[in-house]
Amino acid sequence: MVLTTIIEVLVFGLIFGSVVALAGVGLSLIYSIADFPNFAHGDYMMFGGYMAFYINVQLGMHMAVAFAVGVVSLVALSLVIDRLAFKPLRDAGPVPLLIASIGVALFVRNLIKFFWGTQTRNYAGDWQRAQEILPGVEMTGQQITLVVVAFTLMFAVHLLLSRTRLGKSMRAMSDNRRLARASGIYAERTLMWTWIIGAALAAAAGILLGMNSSLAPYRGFMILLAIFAAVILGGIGSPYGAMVGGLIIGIAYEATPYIPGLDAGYKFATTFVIMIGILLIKPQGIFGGAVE
Amino acid sequence: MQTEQTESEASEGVTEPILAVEEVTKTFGELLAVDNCSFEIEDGSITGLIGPNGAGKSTMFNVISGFYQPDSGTVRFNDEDITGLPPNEIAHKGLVRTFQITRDLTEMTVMENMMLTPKNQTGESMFRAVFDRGTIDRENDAIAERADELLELFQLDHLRDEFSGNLSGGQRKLLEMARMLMLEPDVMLLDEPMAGVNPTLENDIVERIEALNREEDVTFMIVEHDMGLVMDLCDRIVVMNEGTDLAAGPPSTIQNDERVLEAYLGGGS
Amino acid sequence: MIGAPLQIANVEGYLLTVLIWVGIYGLMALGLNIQWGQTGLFNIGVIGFVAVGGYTSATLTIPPSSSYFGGFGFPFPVGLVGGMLAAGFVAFLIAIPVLRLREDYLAIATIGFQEIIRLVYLNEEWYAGGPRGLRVEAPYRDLWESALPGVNFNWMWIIMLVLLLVIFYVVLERLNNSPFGRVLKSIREDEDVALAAGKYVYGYKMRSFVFGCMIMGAAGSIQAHYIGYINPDFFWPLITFYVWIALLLGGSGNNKGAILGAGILMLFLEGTNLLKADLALVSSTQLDAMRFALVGLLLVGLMQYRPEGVLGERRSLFEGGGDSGGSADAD
Repeated sequence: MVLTTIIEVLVFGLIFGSVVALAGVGLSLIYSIADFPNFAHGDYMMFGGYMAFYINVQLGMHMAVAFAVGVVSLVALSLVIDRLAFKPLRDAGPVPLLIASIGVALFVRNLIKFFWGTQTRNYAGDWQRAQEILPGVEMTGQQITLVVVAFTLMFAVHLLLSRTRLGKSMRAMSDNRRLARASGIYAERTLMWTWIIGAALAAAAGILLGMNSSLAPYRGFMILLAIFAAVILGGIGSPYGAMVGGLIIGIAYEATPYIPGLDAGYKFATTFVIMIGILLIKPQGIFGGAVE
Repeated sequence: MQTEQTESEASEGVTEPILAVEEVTKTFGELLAVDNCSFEIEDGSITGLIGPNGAGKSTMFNVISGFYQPDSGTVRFNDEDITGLPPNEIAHKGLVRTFQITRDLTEMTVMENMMLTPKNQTGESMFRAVFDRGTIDRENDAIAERADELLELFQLDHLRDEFSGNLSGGQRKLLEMARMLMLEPDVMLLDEPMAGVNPTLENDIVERIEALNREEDVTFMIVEHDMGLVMDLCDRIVVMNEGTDLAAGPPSTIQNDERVLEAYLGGGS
Repeated sequence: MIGAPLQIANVEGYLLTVLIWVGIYGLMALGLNIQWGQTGLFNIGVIGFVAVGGYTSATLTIPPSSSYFGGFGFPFPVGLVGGMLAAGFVAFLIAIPVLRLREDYLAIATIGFQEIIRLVYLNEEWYAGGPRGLRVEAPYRDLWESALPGVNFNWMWIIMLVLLLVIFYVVLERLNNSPFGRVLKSIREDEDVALAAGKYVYGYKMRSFVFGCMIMGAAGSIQAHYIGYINPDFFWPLITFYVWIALLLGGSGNNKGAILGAGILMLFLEGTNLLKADLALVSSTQLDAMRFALVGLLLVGLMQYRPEGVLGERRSLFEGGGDSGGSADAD
């Protein structure tokens, strides 16, 4: 009984955690390279999710196509927004960028509301059939897909960061923002690729979240808090930290109802309390070093 | 009380250190910024702290002034262990510092800058700030008087009501010194006070330092790269290299010290 | 959420409603101004403290009942002061860990706490009815109606808000023009300078933060009693951003600007709300979405074109606190 509960928490934690981790990697890279916490990241996720909804449900095409369109359209949107909203503020320091990102968050969220309304939305397809993967623990096809896709993408990010020149310059920029920014065009290019990668991962995370539960305009902002918790837990600028942080946050999230005195309503609160705890004990995060 | 004691001893010709750094070590992760460094500053002296780039001079300043916690070692000021005290307490004890890159309170006027520093102002209490305007006005007048004197001395009086963000680089350096003098310090640590200052103003700053040292008994420790200037201005020089103290002594000795020459030439900068 | 009814037939009533909201947002913006405008504390959890003020004030004044916590039946002033104190106390507890953090961490931490506070009110049904909320009586209604029969009761709220705004304005101005205010400004400009000048920065930040949150608590108390009702739906994060927009519009650092900004904000929100009646092209959800998208664009535009707002003191608004590199001067 107890064991089954623990395994269940771990499995569901893994599912939610991989969404958080996936989004967290992008947020963490943007945080350290563009030098501000992007409060629109959660709404970006939702936008990617809704674009996929448009293709999958409203146009009735295959989910793989929907996934691709969701990713591409969010990448395009994020580049346009970076150009119009963030670029003019590049030298103003993190606070104006942060406030502008809140404005962008409101804008994107309401763009979604305008086109798709406020009700929750689900993707088409009926593969919810649960399979027993471990004794007493069942996962649906969606959930298995989610975990596989998320881990594949994170592995791809790992390859990109460790094996390519782009990855190298991204890491360099994340280690020393001010210095790297001074080197002009090179930095602008790296920054652009950071947005592309961050947005692509955000869209993927949003679509996976929609597959696993459903889409709603406000959900992006709620999950953003959990993602911030993961990023700070792992250390800002550390993509691997965000991955591990995401999984920890996912497990804490799913374990919440089993904590005495708490119920499912406090799932997000738990993740946040963990984040505050980390900020108190080790503000640079468990894997971080390059905060200051 | 302690200050009086040290002063009287100093006047008898006994060289009493007002500030003593003992075996201080400070690391940042893997980086060893200050490595078992020791030196002393005599009361009433002007001491230069020199060394090649990366020798750990600014880190040392940050340790002494409480902005960094050393990994080990002690800092003594007026015979009191001040290691690990927060910067605000160290400043109130009479040991103040300026910053390498001038930190200005851009959107405060020159006068507001000056009036910020004096300690234990009644109006720093929220309650008194709202309900005891009379006392505050009286105190403000007294503080303003002292501030005006200093501004005049530093030839900043014509800029009294200007926002400090509108001052030139050199004027900001002067303002920073004047602002810290409002605390009536025993020791001032100046981190590159002449960097980016034009030669005329540089002379002004040198004169101010000498006058304050002579007339108000302020002890100075100065990080400066201009060797000629350091040798002229300072009574004594401490050389740091690779995080530790390499040599200490009067300028004439230091100038001929082979280790020092080697450190500067060998360091490539 | 703004609760402005479209009864244009009753112009006086409508204008009063709008003015009352200007007053409530004006209070919140004043509270935020001492934190952000004067001290540079990045609090994006405003509505959380408003909620604490409102709920506490409600609990203190409503009649006893078994369906919620307490009901202490105290007169309104006790509720108002209690709400302020509770908001201040919660602010104090939150500030202990977060005030030592860099400004972007403070932002994330406050926005998270705001959500936690809302979740607590939502989930702890024994305390204040959870999602159902509490019914709160407007004070002095009988007194008003017997003394001034036929005069719109909302004038009572206007009088009370003007009184509170004047009191807080005077207090904040005095603080601003005092040694205390000088230290706050120096912290806003450069924390390290304040430290080097011998100021106990943490203590000043704490006092500024707590006092600002107390004013927000007062706003919460008034809001709850004015609406006559309180539930978690009044405390979505969006409201925090409204308060920020009000302050940024009016001008950070300027107390008059904070109130003026609240006025401009309401003009904008109500102006676009009135359009609803005339535009049949899109649904009302879509129109709402357009309004809020516009609010988002407004924030971005403000940052780009007029970061100092209409009456702003902070011209180079963000540079002071923006240098988060600490005192680690290169050697």
